[in-house]
Amino acid sequence: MIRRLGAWLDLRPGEGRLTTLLFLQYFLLLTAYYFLKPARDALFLIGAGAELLPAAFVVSALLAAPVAGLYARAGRRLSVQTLTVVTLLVLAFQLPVLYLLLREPAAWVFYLLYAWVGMFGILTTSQFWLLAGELFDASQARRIFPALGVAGILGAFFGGELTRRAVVDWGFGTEELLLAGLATTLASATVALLARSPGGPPTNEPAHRARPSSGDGGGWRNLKLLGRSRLLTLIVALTGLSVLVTAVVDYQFKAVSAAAYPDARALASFLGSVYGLTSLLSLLLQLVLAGRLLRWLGVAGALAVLPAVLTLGAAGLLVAPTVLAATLLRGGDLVLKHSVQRTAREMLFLPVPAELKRRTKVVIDIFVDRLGRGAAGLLLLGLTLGLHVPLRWISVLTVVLLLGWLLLLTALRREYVDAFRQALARRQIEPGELRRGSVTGSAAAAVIAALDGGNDRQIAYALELLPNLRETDTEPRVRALLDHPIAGVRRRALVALNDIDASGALVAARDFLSDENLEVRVTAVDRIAEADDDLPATLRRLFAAGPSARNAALIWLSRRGDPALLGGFAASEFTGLLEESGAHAVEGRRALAYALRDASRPECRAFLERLANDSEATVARAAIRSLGAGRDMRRLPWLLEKLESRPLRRAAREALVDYGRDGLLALRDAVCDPGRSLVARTQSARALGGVRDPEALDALLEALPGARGGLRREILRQAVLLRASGVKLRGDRWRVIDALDDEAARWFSLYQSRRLLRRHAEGDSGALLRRVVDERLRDGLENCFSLLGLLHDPRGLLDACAGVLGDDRRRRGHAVAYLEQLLEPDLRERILPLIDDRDADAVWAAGHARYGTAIRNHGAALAYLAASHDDWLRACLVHHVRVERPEGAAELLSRAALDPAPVVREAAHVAGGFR
Amino acid sequence: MRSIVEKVILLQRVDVFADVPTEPLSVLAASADEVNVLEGDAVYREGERADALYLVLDGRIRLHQGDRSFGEIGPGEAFGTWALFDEEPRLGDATALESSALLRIDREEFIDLMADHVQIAQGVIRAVSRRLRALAERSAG
Repeated sequence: MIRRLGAWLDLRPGEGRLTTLLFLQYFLLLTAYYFLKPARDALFLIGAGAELLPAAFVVSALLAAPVAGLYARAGRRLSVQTLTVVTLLVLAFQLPVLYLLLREPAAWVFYLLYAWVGMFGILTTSQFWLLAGELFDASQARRIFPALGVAGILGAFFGGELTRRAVVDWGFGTEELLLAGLATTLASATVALLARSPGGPPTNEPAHRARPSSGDGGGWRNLKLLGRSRLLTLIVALTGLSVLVTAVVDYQFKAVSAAAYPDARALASFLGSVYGLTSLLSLLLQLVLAGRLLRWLGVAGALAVLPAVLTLGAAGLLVAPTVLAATLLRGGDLVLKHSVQRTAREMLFLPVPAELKRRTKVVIDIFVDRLGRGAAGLLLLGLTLGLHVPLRWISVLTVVLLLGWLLLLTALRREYVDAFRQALARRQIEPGELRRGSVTGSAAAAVIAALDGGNDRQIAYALELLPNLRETDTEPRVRALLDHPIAGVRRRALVALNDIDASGALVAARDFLSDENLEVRVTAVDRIAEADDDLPATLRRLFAAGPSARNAALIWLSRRGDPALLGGFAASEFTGLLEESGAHAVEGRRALAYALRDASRPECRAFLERLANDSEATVARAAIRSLGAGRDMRRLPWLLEKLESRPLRRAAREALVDYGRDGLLALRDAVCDPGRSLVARTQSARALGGVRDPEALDALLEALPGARGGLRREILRQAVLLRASGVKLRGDRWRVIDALDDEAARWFSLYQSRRLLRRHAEGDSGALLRRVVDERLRDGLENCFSLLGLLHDPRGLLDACAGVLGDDRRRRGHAVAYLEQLLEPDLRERILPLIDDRDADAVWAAGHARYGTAIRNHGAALAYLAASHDDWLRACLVHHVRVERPEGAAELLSRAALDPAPVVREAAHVAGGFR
Repeated sequence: MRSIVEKVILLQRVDVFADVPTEPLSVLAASADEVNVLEGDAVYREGERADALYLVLDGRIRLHQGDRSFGEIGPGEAFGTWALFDEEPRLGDATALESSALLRIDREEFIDLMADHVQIAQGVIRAVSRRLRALAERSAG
């Protein structure tokens, strides 16, 4: 059963546990919410009175801003997973307090309860989806998120239904529903704890990164972005209007219900039933009708269903203000809002560029929603308490607002189609984000038009979007594109055809086995392999079909990563391939090198070693990468040597990364080894940075003390990137602070030297020397920020570094203010003197006071630079001294002639020269 | 033979390398070859595959298409720069007006270095942006 369910959800290995836990977590969350919501509504309506409900809307809206601020502050320090558990626990432990307050309630308690439950719903659900978004990538999300959505609807149904039973059948008091909510919230928190993956959570980045000058920024700053897109502006208007109408409808429903059920328990039971039933209907509608409605009516048409139904409901309530009419009105709202309306509204965001969408969607979801409810509250207060408008006549206002809603939709439809066309032209829509069959109507027509157009890139892009079109006859167009001169178009056309007509695609795939482009042939092999039950036999046939099909089959095998399939071939069958010559020989050797990646047989490893020494660099690189995957410790020194070879360097580095922890010691020793070239040492540091492991961070920091110049910069860059990817720093912070002191002292000495060079170093050689010192000063600052990034939010500090080093004074000011806020006093007093806008004398004095640096004359500056461990800086100094012949030049040059670094010796020896 | 430091002094004058930090530039300099051509020799001809950028160390080079001259290049100046970005055939000839010494930067070497040194890529992107902006301004003006 579970296996079948997994197959239905298309779960992949390793996804089952996490999906189950998140399903359970969301189910429990919504169950808790639907215990709390009917209880809240009943207690408020009976305790405070329905006429004051609009005031509760206003209070809820006012409370949203400080709660969002507090939440954002916590989000800067905690990972999403930790924040989820902490939020649930904090909310859970507030429930007994609310319960006790309700035993002898003052009027304000009802307002507090109303606003608190509203925040509970928003915080927990938005946080849950944030967490799910962190734990799953885009392709996983597409498969798994619908199932999680079902969990929410089931939770809402069970919560509502259990509320009814608890009150009617089991004799629970309305306040006691809060305790049921407490139990389910705690259960949800427990499941959230279990969902933390073993070996450290994958999302140990703070939930909202603090960035001084860019990135997410504050909600208000993101609000300004809404003006950039007319479509977004219209979406905001639509959201605001729909929230306003929904709040008015909600008020009418609750006021009529409160009048019909004067007892709190009976009212809670009734509301629980309505919420439970509407959740179930919403699920059924979503499963059965939502897709069809979208297909029949298009996005704008589907969006018109809710206001149309509400108009009928509001008119009904106007004619007969009964519980049944109010329930039908509010029920229609609840059922449609969470199914058709939500799906269609999400599709409105498709043509919005991803970054703009990321930065504005949450603002729209939270701010506009709260503001809309607040505005509705004020409007209703004015109408009911100010003008004493009877409840039924409020339906007139509802109908007027609904007509405005429908008018807005006509403008939105035009804008949506236009924006979709533009996004298509700019290739801004991510095919992975679309749901299968979700592109309909005018948007689908735009995709078809792109297929018929003359722009090759747009054709290829439209082919990728094709599976998301619903029931459109595109086969003739796709078939015509199989002969397209661009390989990428041919390949995508084959994939698209397979979706439309699998047997036709199989015939085309066989023709494509002799295509000139390897990727087209690999796609053809993929189609053929997919259609055949006997894979080993298929592969044999492909091997026998000639070099072009065989090479494609080898690449396909390497991507499939199934060593058992390769095991069906005797090693001798590959010998001929190694000896081959002709058009496909190099391609064949390269394909074999990739295919042998997962082979464990000794004779296959021997082939790989032979291929790694191939005269053709592309073949050697492929073999080196495959060797890395084997993690053979005997090959490690050989791979380290390959870091010296320019054409093979990159492949060797990637292979060394594949060794993971096993290769860390050897890499650290290579970084520290002065006998290796600087390039090889730098590449070793980069390889260490590729191993996402705390031990790799340790190894980088161990290599730091002896490293200078570009090597030091690279070590620290890799270290801070590791931190930014979530790797934790082990050991005490003083190790980092010592390195920071070391860096700052060197920076002050360089700064003082640079001042003196400005007066004395002339000509080309002097200009170069000054430039190198400037670069080192800049590197020094970047190093300091990287070190701080090991202790604090690395991304925020990298942004701050960019702000300090940039030309924008405002951004620089933000960065300094950020550092003042973020850093502890001992760190602040180390970094701020380096970046303060002070005159040179003050900086000189600061260095002297803190680190005792005191370079007072040109000779001392040259002596300091000559003693540097930075090879490139010494080389430029020696060149300058050789050309300009300042005092003490002879001694410095004679020492340089014996320098261990070849680049310095060369600079000392070369005759003649430039000025 | 120029030292690596001397080659870097020359390379930083070429606009595409002006924003590249000097240390990665020294790696490029280490792989650059010095080429000597005699008066009247062709450095490259129209239609040949563009595979290198040249920097004049000494001498003068004429860029031309048949008799139509595009200009003369002297010491410290570079030519054939677009070869670094595409492999399209050369649009014209480059001929030595006198015996000249050139620094040759191979395209493949340059691409490999760019992949390893992000600073080279950043500097080059800045320079190409400047060129494109200048082109746009020229065509607009």
